[in-house]
Formats: sequence, C-alpha cells, structure tokens
Amino acid sequence: MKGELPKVANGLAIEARGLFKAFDGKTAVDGIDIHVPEGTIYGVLGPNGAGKTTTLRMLLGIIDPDRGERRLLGREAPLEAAAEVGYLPEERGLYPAMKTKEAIAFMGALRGLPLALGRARAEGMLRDNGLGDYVDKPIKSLSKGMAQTVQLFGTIVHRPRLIVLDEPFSGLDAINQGRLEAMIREEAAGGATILFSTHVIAHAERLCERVAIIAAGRVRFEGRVDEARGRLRPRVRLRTRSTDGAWRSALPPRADQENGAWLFELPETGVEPLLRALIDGGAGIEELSIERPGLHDAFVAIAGEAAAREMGADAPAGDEA
Amino acid sequence: MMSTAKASWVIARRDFVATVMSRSFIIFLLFPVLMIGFSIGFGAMLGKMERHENLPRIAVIASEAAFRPIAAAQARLKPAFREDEMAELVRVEPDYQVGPQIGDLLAAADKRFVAVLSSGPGGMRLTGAVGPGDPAPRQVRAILHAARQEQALSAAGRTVPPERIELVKVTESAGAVAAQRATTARAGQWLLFMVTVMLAGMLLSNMIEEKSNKVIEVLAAAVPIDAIFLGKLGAMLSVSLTGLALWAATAVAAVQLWPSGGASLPTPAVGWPLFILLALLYFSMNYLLLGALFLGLGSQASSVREVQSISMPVTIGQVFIFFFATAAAGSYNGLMGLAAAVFPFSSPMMMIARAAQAGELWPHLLALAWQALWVWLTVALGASLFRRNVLKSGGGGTRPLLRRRA
Repeated sequence: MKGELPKVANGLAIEARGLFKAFDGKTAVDGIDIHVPEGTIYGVLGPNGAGKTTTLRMLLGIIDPDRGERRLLGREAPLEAAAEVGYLPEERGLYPAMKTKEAIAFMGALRGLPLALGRARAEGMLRDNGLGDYVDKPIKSLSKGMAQTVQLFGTIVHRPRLIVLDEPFSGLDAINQGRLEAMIREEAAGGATILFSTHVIAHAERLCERVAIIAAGRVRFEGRVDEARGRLRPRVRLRTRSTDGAWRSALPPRADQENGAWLFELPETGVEPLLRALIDGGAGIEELSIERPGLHDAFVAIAGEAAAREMGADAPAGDEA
Repeated sequence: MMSTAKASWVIARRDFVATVMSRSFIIFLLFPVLMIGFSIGFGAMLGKMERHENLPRIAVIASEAAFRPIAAAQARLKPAFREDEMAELVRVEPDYQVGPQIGDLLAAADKRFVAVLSSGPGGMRLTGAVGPGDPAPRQVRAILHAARQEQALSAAGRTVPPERIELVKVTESAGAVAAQRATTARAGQWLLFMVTVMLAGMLLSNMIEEKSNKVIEVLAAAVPIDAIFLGKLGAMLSVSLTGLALWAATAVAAVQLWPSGGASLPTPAVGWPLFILLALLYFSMNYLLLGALFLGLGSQASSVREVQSISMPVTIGQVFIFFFATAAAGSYNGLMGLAAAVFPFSSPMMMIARAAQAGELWPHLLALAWQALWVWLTVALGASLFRRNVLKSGGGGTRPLLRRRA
C-alpha cells in the first residue's frame, strides 16, 4: 500500500477547514482547522473532552461533521482512502474469540489486504515482537498490553500511508510506551504520516514535528513544536553575590525574585547588554542560565493553566512535561 | 476504497466462520432436531391419552339381552365415524330403583359418564349434561333407530346385506387438485414462517457484540456501514442455509431409515424441483427482509435487555404478517392476494403459496426483484439510522465535499 500511490498534490495528508460538530445541542468541535503535511509525525494535544477524538473520527469519515470540509490523502470522501489509512481507536476493539493472527489479518482485510498475505505478515510481526507463542491463541487469552499491541499490528499490517492513533499510549506501561514510540518513529522513517492524539505533552514533545493544541473544541495553536515554544521568550535565571547596585537598573522591571535568584524573560535586546551591566556594576555573577520554554510552558500559555493542570493530572507518573 | 460487495464479503466471511466454528452452533443445529423429536414423542403420547380420555362414555341401563341389539347396531355404525368421535356405550345392570341409580352413575367421578340411557314409561330416555345439539344424543338416536330397524327386519324374516360401493379413482379432478394444492400452499407458508422466525431472530442481537467490544469503531473507519449490515446479513443467511441443509439431510436420512408410509404433500403447480428452488429463494428473501429489519432495530439497542424488549413486538408483527399471507393464500389473483404479494414483508410467503397453486413463472421473477429492492432499501434505512442515532453522524453537511456515505 505505502508508496504505491502518488503523493498528494498539495503535500497534505490531512486537510480540514472549519470542522464543526455538536452532539445533542452541545458543541464538541467548534470550527477546527488542521493541516498535516505528508511524512510528518503530527500530534493533536488537548485535555480530555477537548474534542480530539471527535475531530479524528470526522477526519476519518466515521462521522460526518455538521459543517466544514476535510480531505484525507487528497480524497474528499475519507473512506475512499481507507486502504491507505490505519486507525487505532481510543477504545480498543477486538473480537475476543478470534485468534491473534486472524484478528490482525482481518483488520488488514478490512483495508483491502489479501487474507493470506495478512496472515503471513501477522505471524512475522508477532514473532518479531516476542509474541510468537500467541500466534494461534485467542485474543481473550492475551493481557491488556498484548491485546493493544495486537491491535496496533492490525492497524499497520496493510502498510498504510497515513496512520491515525487515538491516545495510543493510554493503558501501556513505560516499556510498551517506549516500544510504541520506537514503532511510530520506524513507520515515519518508512515514509508514513503519523497523526496521534494525546493528553500527555511529553509524548508529543518527544515525537512530534508539528502539533495542534485543542482546547474546548477549538484549535488554539497549529504549527511546529519549536514554533509553539518560540511563542514564549526564553527565561533567564540570575543569582548574584551583591544584592544591590547600579546593575539592578539593567534588569527588566517585571523581574521576580525567588529564593535569592532573579527570574525574568530574556529582554528583546539579548543577553549581552545585561551581562555588560552586571560585570561593570560588580554584581558578582554566581549563576546565569537561559532556559528555552518547553512545550508544556507553551501549552499553558496557549491553552490556559486549567487545561494544562488537567493534562498533568491525567498523565501517567513521570510523563508530565 | 473496496467495493461494498467486497467489504461485505470480508465482514460476512468473519461472521460466518466465527458462528459456525463456535460451540453454540452445535447447540443451534441440535436444538430443532431435539425439539421436533420431543414434539413427536410427546404429541403421540398425549394424543393417545387425550383420545382415550375425551371419548364420551354413556351408561346404558339394560339387561344383557336388551343391550345386545344396541351393541350390534353401534358396531355396524362405528366405521362411519372417526375413532375419537363415537361415544362409548357401557352396559349397567338395572337396579331396583332406576331413578337413584342414574343419579349415582352421573355422580361417580371415576366412571366419567356424560349421560345415562334408560328406558322409561314413554320410551328411551337419555339423562345427562348433554344438549340436543351435542353429538352424543344424535349418535344414541341413530344407534337405537338402527337397532329397532334390525329387530323389525328380523321379525319380518328379512335381512338386508351391507351395501357394496365400487371405488373408481381418477388421477385428477379440478376440485381435488385445487384443494390439494391449497394444502401444499399453506404448508409452504407455514414452513417458511417457522424457519424464518426460528432463524432470523438471531439478527436482533447481531450488532451487540461489535458495539460492546468496540470493534464497530474499527469497522466503521474502514468500510461503509451499509457493507457491515450486508455482510452480517449475508453471514447469518449462510449460517441459516447451512443449518437448513444439515436438517434437511437429517430428515431425509430419518425417512430412509424409518419410512413412515404416511401421506405426502400434493404436487405443487410448478412441480417439486422448481417449488423447492423457489422455496429456498423465498426463504432467503424472507430472511433477508426480516433480517434487515431486525438488524436495523437491533443495532439501535445498546444492551441485550433492550434487544429483548424489541423482540416481543417484532414477533407479534411477524405473526400478523403470517396470518395476512395465510388468509390471502387461497385467492392469489384476488385483491387480498395481490396486496399480500406486493407488501414486501408478506410477499415471500404469498408467492410460495402462489407457486403451489399457479404455474406461471414470470410473477416470481418480478416478486424476487421487488423483494431484493426492499432488502436493499431496508438495509440502507437501517444503516442510515445507525449512522445517525448510534454513531451520531450527519446533521448539516451542505457542501459537496461532505458526502454522507464517505
């Protein structure tokens, strides 16, 4: 599948403008615009209930939007591109009585992969990932993590050009999260476009080239990760031996003091004039660091403190950005 | 995108294999065989018991000499009645006082007498809980009359030999053929109804599995909902036809092993081979029509409990449709017959009745095409309702970019 078809004319694997969806009168997605370039790893970030899953379902054609336009791999009708798309839904779904190999092959067959080829690939994928003993075992005999891995294999068995993963890391332990990250990088290196939603900023920061930050059904930011971070000025942390002197006038007026250190945004003029004033004024520099803001800081600035707190609360231990 | 047919095939293949390879399929196959076996066994036993218990018993208070001509007359008349139709006459020796004896006989629960025949001053008297319209007094009257005639003839020294009638059987008479084919028509309708009721009900809960284990999201992202519905219908029809084939083979084997020698159904107007083919086609259409309706209704339910709530009105509806088709069976060219043939959900049952009674084939081609159209319409409606009510899709797409069936 992958690489068999020509590139999308405008270079966008997904293009959506003004997507709007309401359920029972309540707005879930409110005019979302998304542009996912081909070959990128793209993250849709947002707290629970932000509208991420509804957006993905509209992009894939599972549901139609009430208003707006979308194109998937250049097709106006998303299901026309189904053979080139792999989708891992947030709520994992497999037939419990089906054999592992058959489940993967069936998911491939749904996307047009011949069943025999699907079986052969499924067996290879399972063996390569230490699940060789489970090839002919029913899904119900697998652990939750194994079943999620099997569903992921089913998502990519037909070698899609576009892989859409809805909260793929949820429910996985740290080891399996690492494996999944590696798998995503591998697929991207092979030329696939990856779109995944997450409410864990660390995953997006590690993997994504571009992100869309969604809150309350709207896209608050869309662009490269460094652009998101670039929206904030770098932060300066300064500690001096002297507590006062003429050099103080060189600090920005909104500089805060915390535990004897000064904290402030890097001035527009850069760090050199400040350094000169500190040295000339005999401030005695003990510590001076310039920190680039992380995606989390950018998220707080873009989506708001409340949304960031919610994401932090939902993220697994050690994953908060 | 895969064609709807190919996508349906993928869904159907999985569902068929999953159903046929499951343990519950064995139970599914055995259930009707066991049910029929038990029905036949219990039916025969209960029938025998009922026949014996329901036979009206009449006590005849008479001496042995007086009872003899009555018994002889009853024996002569008995062949004209069915086994369970003619009252049983039991002689009781007269007591000194007949009045109280009659009361005692009627009151004795273990003797089960419905009436007592005795002689009174004005002639014979029948006492009991019987009215003039009941068969027992009429039979008693006929028996007594025959006994008296016999006695009169005997007294006159004459005997009348029993009448001999030569039976000349012709292969066909218009009236007999029509009556016989009506029997085949009703048998065909009944079989179609029973088999469909027994098999199509499975489709009510068919989408519950996908909805409960969230596979529906995987399916809906890959293939059109119509293809999911068609695939499921096709799979369950194939499962049903597999079951029917096995049951038919079992029945044929049973007949070979234990030939009953019983009556067979009259030959239908289109002949047996074509009738069987049409029966299969109409069963398939009936199954697909009802199945599409069941699938559409069942897909709206979110739990087995909801499915159970839906199934009751659905079953009642089926019974009404069956009665409608049965009532119309005799007048296949009349207004009611044509209405039953046109109404999609009674059409297969009406048309199988027509195949038993009329030889033309073109109405069947027309009916099959009509029914297939309704299968498609019902599936499309069910899929549309599923998209709208379950997936919460659709609503306000106005631009051509937003194709509903994308």
